Amino acid sequence: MKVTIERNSLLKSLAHVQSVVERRNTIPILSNVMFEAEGNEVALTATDLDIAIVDRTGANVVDAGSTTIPAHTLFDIVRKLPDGSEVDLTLEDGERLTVKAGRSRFTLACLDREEFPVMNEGDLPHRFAIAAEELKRLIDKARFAISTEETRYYLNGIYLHVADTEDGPRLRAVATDGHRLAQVEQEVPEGASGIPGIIIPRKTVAEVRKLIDEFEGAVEIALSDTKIRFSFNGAVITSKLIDGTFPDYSRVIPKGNDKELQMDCRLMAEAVDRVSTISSDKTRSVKFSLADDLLTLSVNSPDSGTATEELSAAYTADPMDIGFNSRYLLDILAQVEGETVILQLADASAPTVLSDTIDEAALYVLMPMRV
Amino acid sequence: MAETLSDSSVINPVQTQTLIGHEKAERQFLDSFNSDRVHHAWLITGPRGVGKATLAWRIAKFLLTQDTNATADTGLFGETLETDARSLDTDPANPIVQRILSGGHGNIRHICRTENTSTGKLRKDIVIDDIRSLISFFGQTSAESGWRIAIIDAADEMNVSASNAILKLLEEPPAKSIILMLAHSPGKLLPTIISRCRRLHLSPLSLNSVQAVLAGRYPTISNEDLQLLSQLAIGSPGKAITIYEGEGLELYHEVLKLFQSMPAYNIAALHALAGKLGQAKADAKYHLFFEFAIGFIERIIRFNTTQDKQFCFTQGEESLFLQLFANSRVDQWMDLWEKMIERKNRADSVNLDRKQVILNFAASTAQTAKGI
Repeated sequence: MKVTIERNSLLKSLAHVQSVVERRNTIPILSNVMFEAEGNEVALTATDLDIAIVDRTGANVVDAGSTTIPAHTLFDIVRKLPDGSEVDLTLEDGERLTVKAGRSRFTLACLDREEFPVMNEGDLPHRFAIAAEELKRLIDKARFAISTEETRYYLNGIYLHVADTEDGPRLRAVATDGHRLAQVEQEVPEGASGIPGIIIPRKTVAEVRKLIDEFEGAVEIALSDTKIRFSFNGAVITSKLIDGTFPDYSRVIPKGNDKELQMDCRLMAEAVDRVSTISSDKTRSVKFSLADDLLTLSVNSPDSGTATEELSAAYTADPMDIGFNSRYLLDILAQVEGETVILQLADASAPTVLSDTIDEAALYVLMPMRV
Repeated sequence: MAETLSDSSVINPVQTQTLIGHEKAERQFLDSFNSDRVHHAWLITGPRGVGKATLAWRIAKFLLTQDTNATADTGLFGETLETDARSLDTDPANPIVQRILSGGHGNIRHICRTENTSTGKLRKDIVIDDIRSLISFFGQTSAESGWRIAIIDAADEMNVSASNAILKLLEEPPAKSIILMLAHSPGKLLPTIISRCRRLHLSPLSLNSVQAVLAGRYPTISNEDLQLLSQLAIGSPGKAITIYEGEGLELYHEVLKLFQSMPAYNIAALHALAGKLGQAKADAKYHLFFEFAIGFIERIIRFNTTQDKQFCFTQGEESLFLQLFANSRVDQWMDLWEKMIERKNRADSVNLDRKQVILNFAASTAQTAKGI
């Protein structure tokens, strides 16, 4: 194999794939990136056995061939090369790869590409395209609620499915950790109407999200009930899915919450952030006291003191008190696009529904805390 | 605790192609596979070095190379015809096998003791985080089509929380998954784990089988060494290999020399030996020394009570046994045997000075030989 690549395009390609390679790896082949040169491009593949990312970039291929090389080492070398240099990669005897740029020269140990893991995607019968902006919205508004608890592994991802609603079928992304839930929906893209409900693992969500910013245009998604593939313009992520059943989340979204609080989202977020400074415990609870057009936030910590703040808000129902985890609440408020956030409450022990005045297709549920 | 055999770099069960002497266990697995009702959890038990890990990896390679894409043969009425695999052998040139060997196969997870990142040392147990990685492994769809396999090497090294964490998996594994658990001392496992597994016991090998393994591995080994090694290994080829690679034969001759000098042993020579074995880096040799020494006492007793020559491993041992026994009684040697095992275990558990343990051993042996 003999290839010449422009340093910047090689660096960009490596940056796309290397994040999936774990820094500390006991298995040598998993810390490598597979390098395949053919035609006038090279394909770089990296995997952690759960996700595989392939990135293609144009190159001057003198001799076609393939090998695997340590991903982080190569990335660091290319990163430190001067901007605009041409990188020469030559595979010597199957065991050593020579990297040359200007007057620098490196030799790297290679491993046989036969040893490199294969992500066997099988048949991916469902294919559809989704605009990058739309996918970004689905991910951003749901991912903060993904659980990190390993025992309920089926919550460690975003549940993507087509739901039947009053407005007909909608493509819906749901994530929950049992304390909060995020549900985002949008129109069903063409070709997606028959997809099975799938759970996309957290790490895949993070990798896809990173690549959305790097590429323009629509993202093509192909999936079966065991694999999903995201094709960007030049890069492809293939991932395993979570093998489990997502719980029936619709039962935890309350329908009959009759008390409605409306107020400026930014003001609420700032005030919650301020008063929660006092709370020293892990849960960081904040008490909401609601009365006629008045919201009083209070935190009472036996160790460090108390904090209260009064805010004017639109509220006309009966006075009530309710407690929330301030961190969970701030996570949700950060996703609200509109100026005003709407909280629908029932009582101090029932879940609260939060919604956005601009993006009505996004909905959040927050469990209260006893305060 | 003694080093596990699979930790030593000399034996690599993943790479080992052949398994000698466990045809019956392989047959049991194949029968279960051929009947299309493979149990999801297998407990492979047997002494260290007997071939448990090799068997587990052979099963893994076999399962992953089964052609899963081929539609199952169906009979006239749509019933599944019995598949008939006759051997666990796989082709080492198969790309799937190559990926397994390099650790690059996504359908297999190997759980063993991991390094503690804060101290940089190998942990004494398999901890809950190691098992949790299995939960997420089985919680995701498989990377390549076909079986998902976990090998736990060894299950009796799991600590309490790790053992409890695996129960749920053992009870409700996902479809097409198999958990192979190895155990040197299955008695240490939770009864709830044992009851969920099908047991595959690997018995110690015959002398001939051990010799066959050794002869295949070391073509130049002398007949005499081969004989002695296979007798010292007590049916475990893995142990024979570690003895051979770890200069264990030389050590055995030193143990022999020490017994020959009894009861008037050379104190200076003993101090040199004990000092060498007492060092931290001689950990494996220290344990081996006691294994040989305690085994030797055992053979003194057995030979003198049965007069059976199979207890004499090397030339001259017969007269040595008789000579050591001349001034003493069986019960005295049995006392010594029991005391030595107990002392060694106690010294290990509270980390006593190893040199002293060896000096103490020699002194007690000398007394017994004198009949005191």
